[in-house]
Amino acid sequence: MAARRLTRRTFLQGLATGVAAGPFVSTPARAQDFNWKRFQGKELFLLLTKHPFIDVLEKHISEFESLSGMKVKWETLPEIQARQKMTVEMTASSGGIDAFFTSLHVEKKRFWKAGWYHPLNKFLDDRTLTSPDFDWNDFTPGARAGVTQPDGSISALAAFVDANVFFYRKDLFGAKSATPPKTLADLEPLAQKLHAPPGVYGIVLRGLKNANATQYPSILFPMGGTYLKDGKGVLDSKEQIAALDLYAKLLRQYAPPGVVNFNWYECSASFMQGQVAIYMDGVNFASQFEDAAKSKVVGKVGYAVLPSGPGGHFSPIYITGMAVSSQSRSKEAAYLFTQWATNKTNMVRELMAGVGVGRTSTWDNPDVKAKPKMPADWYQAYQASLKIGRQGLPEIVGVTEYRDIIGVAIQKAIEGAPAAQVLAQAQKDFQDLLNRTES
Amino acid sequence: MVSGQSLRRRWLSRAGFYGLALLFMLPTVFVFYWMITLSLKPQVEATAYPPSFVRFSITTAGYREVFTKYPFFLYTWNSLVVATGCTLLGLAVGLPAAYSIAHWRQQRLAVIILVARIIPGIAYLIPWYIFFRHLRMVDTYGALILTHLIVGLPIIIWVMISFFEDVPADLEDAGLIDGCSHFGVFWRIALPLVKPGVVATGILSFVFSWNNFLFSVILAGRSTRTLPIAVYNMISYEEINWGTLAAAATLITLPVLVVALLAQRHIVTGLTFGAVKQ
Repeated sequence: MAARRLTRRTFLQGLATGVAAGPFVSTPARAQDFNWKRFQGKELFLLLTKHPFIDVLEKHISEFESLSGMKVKWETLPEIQARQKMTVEMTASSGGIDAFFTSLHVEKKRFWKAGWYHPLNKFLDDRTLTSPDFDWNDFTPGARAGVTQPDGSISALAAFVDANVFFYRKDLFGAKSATPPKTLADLEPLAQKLHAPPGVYGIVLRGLKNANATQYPSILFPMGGTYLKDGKGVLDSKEQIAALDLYAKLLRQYAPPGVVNFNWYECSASFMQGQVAIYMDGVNFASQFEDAAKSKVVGKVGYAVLPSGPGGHFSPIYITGMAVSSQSRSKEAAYLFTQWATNKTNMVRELMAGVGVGRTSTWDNPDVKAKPKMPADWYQAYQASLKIGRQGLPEIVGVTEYRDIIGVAIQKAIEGAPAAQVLAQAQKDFQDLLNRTES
Repeated sequence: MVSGQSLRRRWLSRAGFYGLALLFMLPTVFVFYWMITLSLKPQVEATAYPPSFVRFSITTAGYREVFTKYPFFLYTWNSLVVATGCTLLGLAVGLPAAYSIAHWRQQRLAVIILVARIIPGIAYLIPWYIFFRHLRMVDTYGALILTHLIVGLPIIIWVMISFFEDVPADLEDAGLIDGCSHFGVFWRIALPLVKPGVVATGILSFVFSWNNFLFSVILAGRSTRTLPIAVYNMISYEEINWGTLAAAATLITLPVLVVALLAQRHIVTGLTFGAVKQ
């Protein structure tokens, strides 16, 4: 069912819908069965990224080696350096990388246009290559959409799925008999109620440009805002203006001083130091909150799903995945690794270590329930968020440029500029970017 | 009475001198102080606000983690091999080159060498990668040493040119008349005279190589990875491990600091020598 060769600009709509339904459509049954040892004796090279998901996975790679009889070599670099290395290797057509860990929310469209992802559709369909218990449809719809390109080709297998959730201080909420907000309308009064500076500030969200672009959709999506409409930018819609107004107002009035320059690091640090009552960010931060060596609020943090709004109920999600390099000389063997890395056993291990994954079956796994590393409401909030997950950033080539454009607008709005005005400028820049890179 | 007054004045001026020196040193010293204290703090206190400058609980967890979780000795060894190799090779090639440029006034050659330094290193990266890949030299010390030379060599040559220019021509002529070859003059007469310069440039080139990050990321592999990358290993997705990061940074700075202190006398003469012509 997959296109034999990707002609990048053809938009195979029929295919796109077909993939969403799942690639396990009619494949003629073959005599040969699936066998992990099929590529015994081969050697694979992986380029991995410093990431909690990889920290857990690395410990078990030897298990894959004995399962498959292959030798695996790998290298783990910080994300930005890994991307540099990837660019050099791929530009030089070295063929040195067989599989790699990819941050789809940044790289998806760019690497796809460059032709660096090997499409996995045919492999997933092939029963001699895909283990019968892999189960593609076990991934949440958001996770499947996150790894699928506009032409229907599957670029990676979803690994870590980060969802934005609502963190709050149970003790402070209890003292004011407050509960997590159901809707956006409740959010501001709540922040106001809990705001008691200089001891405690009501809320913290990322203010620094570029970084703030991943938290902004927590307000934007429920307001009904989107990034693109019929291929055109819509940063100046009335939903956008309402969302930015609220985002900027919350930070201007109820956040710690200097929030306009807060990246995730400053936000999470101020929350862990006990200075903030409400924080909305990636679900993954929670494992630090619950670590006494790093946090002063261990056991005091409550987890909830983000509030809904007039536009619906969403959680922005960010997906990383395991991909096969289009330049690999042993793509099928590399696929075996990506498949193993995202199989049910490994995903359960990840979830038990407090790393979020997008496989539905892991949630009801008895091991996860018996020995939870995280509080029960964390699992509930995460699971509920995945069900309403939507890709947090526009899926375009110039993701980084977009983040700068909206980031500057958000910063200006926090500093007091009218939202309509800064968004008009942002829309102009964004449309320029789209004209330059998307055609 | 008079002598008492002049004594007091001398004491005052000395106090003023040290006071000012301390004031100017403060920003530099504070950075080191902060790095070292950070390496000893647990994470909760590392991120505390207001920051605790003096009173904090001490832990060696950061240092323990550096040595147990990462192959720190391997990284150190790699850095030593690469930096030493780069410096020795740089001196072996650079000193005769600088001498030749200074002696025969080959200005154009000097400018070409400088251009190699002015072009940002990242521009070489992909060609080099292809090149070393074909030579099967990726993930070898050789590739790193050769690439670090592009940073080290122009510095060695340019600093040494001015040193060699200050060697009196009469001395060299005397050597030639007495039957010394040109290489003999360079080796027996010029080189001993510019020894402070050699030490200073050697240290500069060593430090450049020691701190180089970009080339090591791309051209080194797991077995030849150098120290600066080790520091970046503490930065993960949505998490920065400050204690370990600072511990690694302290350990990496230490050898360079020791070398610089030991060779300090040479550096000072080295940097001022050649500033004034008779």
